[in-house]
Amino acid sequence: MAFLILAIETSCDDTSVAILCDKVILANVVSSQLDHSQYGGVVPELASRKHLVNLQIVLEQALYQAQISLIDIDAIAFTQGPGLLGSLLVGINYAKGLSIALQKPLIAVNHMEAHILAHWIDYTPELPFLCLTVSGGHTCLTLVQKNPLNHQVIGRTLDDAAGEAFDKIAKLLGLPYPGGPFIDKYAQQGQPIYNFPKPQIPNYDFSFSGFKTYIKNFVNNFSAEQVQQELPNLCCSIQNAIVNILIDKFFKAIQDLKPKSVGIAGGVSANSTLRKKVQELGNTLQIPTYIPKFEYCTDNAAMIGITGYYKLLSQNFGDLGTVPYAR
Amino acid sequence: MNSVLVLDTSTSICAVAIYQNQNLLSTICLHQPNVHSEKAALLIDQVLNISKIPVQQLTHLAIAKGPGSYTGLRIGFALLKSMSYALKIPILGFSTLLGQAQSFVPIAQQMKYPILSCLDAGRNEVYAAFIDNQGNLLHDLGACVLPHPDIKKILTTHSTLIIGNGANKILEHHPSPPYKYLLFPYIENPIANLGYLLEKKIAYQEYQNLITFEPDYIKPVHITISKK
Ligand SMILES: Nc1ncnc2c1ncn2[C@@H]1O[C@H](COP(=O)(O)OP(=O)(O)OP(=O)(O)O)[C@@H](O)[C@H]1O
Repeated sequence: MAFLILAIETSCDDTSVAILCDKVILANVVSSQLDHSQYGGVVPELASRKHLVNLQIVLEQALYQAQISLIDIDAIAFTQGPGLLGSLLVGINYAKGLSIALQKPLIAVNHMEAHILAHWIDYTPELPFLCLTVSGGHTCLTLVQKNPLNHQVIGRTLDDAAGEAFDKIAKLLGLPYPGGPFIDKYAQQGQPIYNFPKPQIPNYDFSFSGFKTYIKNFVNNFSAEQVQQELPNLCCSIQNAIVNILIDKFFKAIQDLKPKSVGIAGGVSANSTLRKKVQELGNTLQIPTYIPKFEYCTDNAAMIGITGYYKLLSQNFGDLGTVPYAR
Repeated sequence: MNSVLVLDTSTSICAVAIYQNQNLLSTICLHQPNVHSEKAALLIDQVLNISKIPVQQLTHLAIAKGPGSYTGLRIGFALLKSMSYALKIPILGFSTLLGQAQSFVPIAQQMKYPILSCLDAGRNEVYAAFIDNQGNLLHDLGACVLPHPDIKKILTTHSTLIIGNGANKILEHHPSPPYKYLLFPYIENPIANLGYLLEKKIAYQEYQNLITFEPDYIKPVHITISKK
């Protein structure tokens, strides 16, 4: 018998609802709150208010797309954390209300695990699987062993996340928020003509704050006009440098731990240079390499749903007392 | 017969109740700040259990829509909105200030005093509403920085029941009012006497649109843009 799973994701500024029949995505609706870009970052109170209105709309849209009636749902999965507490609270309590009304079980999902589990939507990567997760709030290397829910974080950023580094540097260059995609865009038209020193961090950990400071000082040598002129080359060089920092550790971890397959996850895995270089790395090392579809890179409820599916199979349920966590 | 589930998460009190027609069937009320996130859904489940009412038998939902704590309000709204949608039953909203005032209507009637219902809103502010001795809203005062001209006017022209956790603060800023007053800063259960209010709302079908129904935030989002 197949399971119908409803999944809710409200960890940051995107409101998303997905409906899965086992591993098959019947709907994955995402509503983005564009209002935040004018403030140069997500405004938590604004995000929470919007979720409360948007969630209802997004749910109705998802049910319509999936042609499913709410009473047929077997379980309700939701993001428990990490994320903005005010945003998470809306999704969690909405899920709890559904659970009470429909008398169906809840499944609490960790957002970062879900980013990784997104690979299980279309494929079944062979284990152990080594994943490089790079998003606005996180940067880590995770080894998935034994089963898809068995995660061991082997390295993480000691300061800024990769996406945060992209965004902060983009701001220095006068680009809008979030700046990651803009750096990527300008980088396509430039050459990596500038060289920057690489941070020397032990083990599988990362650091971006020193790099960011270096770029800040570097850019200060340029006038505003020169920055404008040099934007493509600057973006291309910066993008290459950030990706190289990531790839170096990824390479080291693959060599040491010898996983059977590898992949990337999170919002920054939309980055074109990262996608290209990870694929090249996989080809060189002859290891199956999973690059997520764009719609599964950023926050989406499909990844919450697929994680919910595996948790359902292992009877790993949440309850009405479940509370969110920020980190 | 109407079976109404009522929820108030708008203050440091977390309260749930079930009414059958005008009568309170059961209620649970926690006086504990910052437990709403963990407890609100559990309390709903419990109150349904003690009332021996299967959730599908509910006919209406009602919620204190503020003013109050934004976090608390959103917890309550998220819970009841999804219940309303899943159970296909309408949702009613009532002002937190009007709701908590209902318990004092019998005294107000007896004394012939109107009610000044208020909630502490931090610093020297309260949310306040002026309510007649039958429990009907006369004037919503919104967020009042104390001392406040509207509050001063009320206290200098009426004998009043001042109720709610901002009551002491009001008197600090408006000392020795010329008329008599009775002070009730402590609210035992803000949703224990809503029978009349709910009946009225149901009779007038004051149902909320599920998508647009939002808490009474009173204030817009305050945004400071960092110049870094
Ligand atoms: N093409 C791209 N190149 C570089 N960075 C990108 C690109 N596309 C998106 N990003 C970055 O990805 C981040 C957003 O990713 P995501 O939505 O996964 O993160 P988040 O929700 O902010 O954080 P988290 O998932 O850790 O809670 C932003 O920092 C954005 O700049």
